[in-house]
Amino acid sequence: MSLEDRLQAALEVRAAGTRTSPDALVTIRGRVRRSSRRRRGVLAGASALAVAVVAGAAAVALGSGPSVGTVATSSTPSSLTPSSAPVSPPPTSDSGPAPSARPSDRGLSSEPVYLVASTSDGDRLYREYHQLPGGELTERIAAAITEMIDKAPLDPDYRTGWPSGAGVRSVSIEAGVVVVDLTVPPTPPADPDLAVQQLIYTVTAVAAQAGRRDLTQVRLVGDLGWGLDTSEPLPRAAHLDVLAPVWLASPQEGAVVGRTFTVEVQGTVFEAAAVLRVRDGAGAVFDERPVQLSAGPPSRGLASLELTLPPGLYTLEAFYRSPNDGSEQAIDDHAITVR
Amino acid sequence: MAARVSGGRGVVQAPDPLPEAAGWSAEAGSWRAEAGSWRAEAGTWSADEAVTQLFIAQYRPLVRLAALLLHDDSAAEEAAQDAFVALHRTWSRVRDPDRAVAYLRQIVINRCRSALRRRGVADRFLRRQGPSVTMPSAEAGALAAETHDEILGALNQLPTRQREVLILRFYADLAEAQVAEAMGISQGAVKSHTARALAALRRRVERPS
Repeated sequence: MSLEDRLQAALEVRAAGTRTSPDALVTIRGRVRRSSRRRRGVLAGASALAVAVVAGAAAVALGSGPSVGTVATSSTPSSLTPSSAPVSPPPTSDSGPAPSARPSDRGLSSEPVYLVASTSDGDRLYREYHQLPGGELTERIAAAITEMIDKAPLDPDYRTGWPSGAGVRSVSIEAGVVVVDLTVPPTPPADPDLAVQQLIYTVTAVAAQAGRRDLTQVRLVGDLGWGLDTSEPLPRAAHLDVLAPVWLASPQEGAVVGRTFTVEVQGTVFEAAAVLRVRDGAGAVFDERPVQLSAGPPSRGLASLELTLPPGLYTLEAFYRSPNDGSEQAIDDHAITVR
Repeated sequence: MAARVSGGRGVVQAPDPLPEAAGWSAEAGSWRAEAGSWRAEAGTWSADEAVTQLFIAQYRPLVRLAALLLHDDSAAEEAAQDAFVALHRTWSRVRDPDRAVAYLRQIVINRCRSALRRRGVADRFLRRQGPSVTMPSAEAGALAAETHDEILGALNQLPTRQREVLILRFYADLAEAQVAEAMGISQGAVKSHTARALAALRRRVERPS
């Protein structure tokens, strides 16, 4: 074997062992969007996005849907009550990249992680699903909290409400309460209450997804010295006070879907009237239609729509119109690819 | 930066791409086969579409190239991602998949050079040379792995330009002209770097240990 052949073989073997991240395209798109926004001088945060990308998930039966550009709408009953019931992940088994509650073959499970973004009502929570290692419930809760604090959200408009340096020491379940032992830096974040709710929503959603809907309270122990009273277990705050008015729950940013796929919108909006807009790759409006959610305030309503689009790049936008002046509010937009 | 200019012309305006420019030997056979129809479509792609389409065909080969140059998979991904972000900005001027692949490669090589400069090349390489880190090995077999270790270890002791030339020739399977364009040097320099690099490699791997 010549030296050149040996070199070629060695390089090929070495190269073949290189791993690539399944989220790379999402990362690139996020960076492109950030740099475009900087160039355009557009304020980020006007459209805060709910995102969860499950790479490779698409799988909606092709060819059986309505013709291109048509939409069938069906509202489903809200699973939410006005105050403190956990906003558990709605049933999403047929909604494209919707996450699975069960661990996948690779031992990963799709866990809800709440994040903060700006809306016209102030900072509010959005939800992403992240692929995290499975395991016991307490391990899954700890992993979701760590993800929430440390990992960059998939969407560039998102951020965590927690300061860097925070972390989880342990998670346990005692007498129907999830006990989270945290280590946090002494300087409080901009909105400590929302940060704590971000954690409580994450913890209780992970528990609910695992079938433990009884776990609705979280006790924080450790050195949380932000002037909060954490001596008692804390419940979720009312969703009206902390969740964003509209989520484009599915598909998520960066999703690659089949031609026919399910769009899911959630929210608490005036007269349960949301809007879904589809822009093509060039940003032109391809389709826009009203979406009637299953419930209006104070409940959080849901709607799912089946959408069929020709292959290409699109941006889906969910929002509501202000009852005062008709302006578009709380736009939640996701860039997706239709195969 | 030298690699951005080849023969005094801007990177994206270089005429007459060689047929091989559409893809990489080991990776892009299918893409090369489809490149004709791509060319027809590519003129109408938006920057987003170009990034998506080229990502599907070229991301992994570019990460692999960067990994060979850097010996660090996560830094390699960053270099490849930088290239796609840069492509998005310049797509309106590129508008051609062949050009775009050449452009992506140049950016990756530039980013790798910068990364190596930042981290202080030589000794970092030596520290990262452990076979367990660099060799995938499972199916390669112990003997083959040992041979690969030896030759890659020798490769990584070469000067940067010589390593680049060998990786672009023998991994990416580029013609001399393409290597010259990718590295921002003349074809004559590619020839001489290649000859010197192979001679040095031969000395190192054939030296009794």
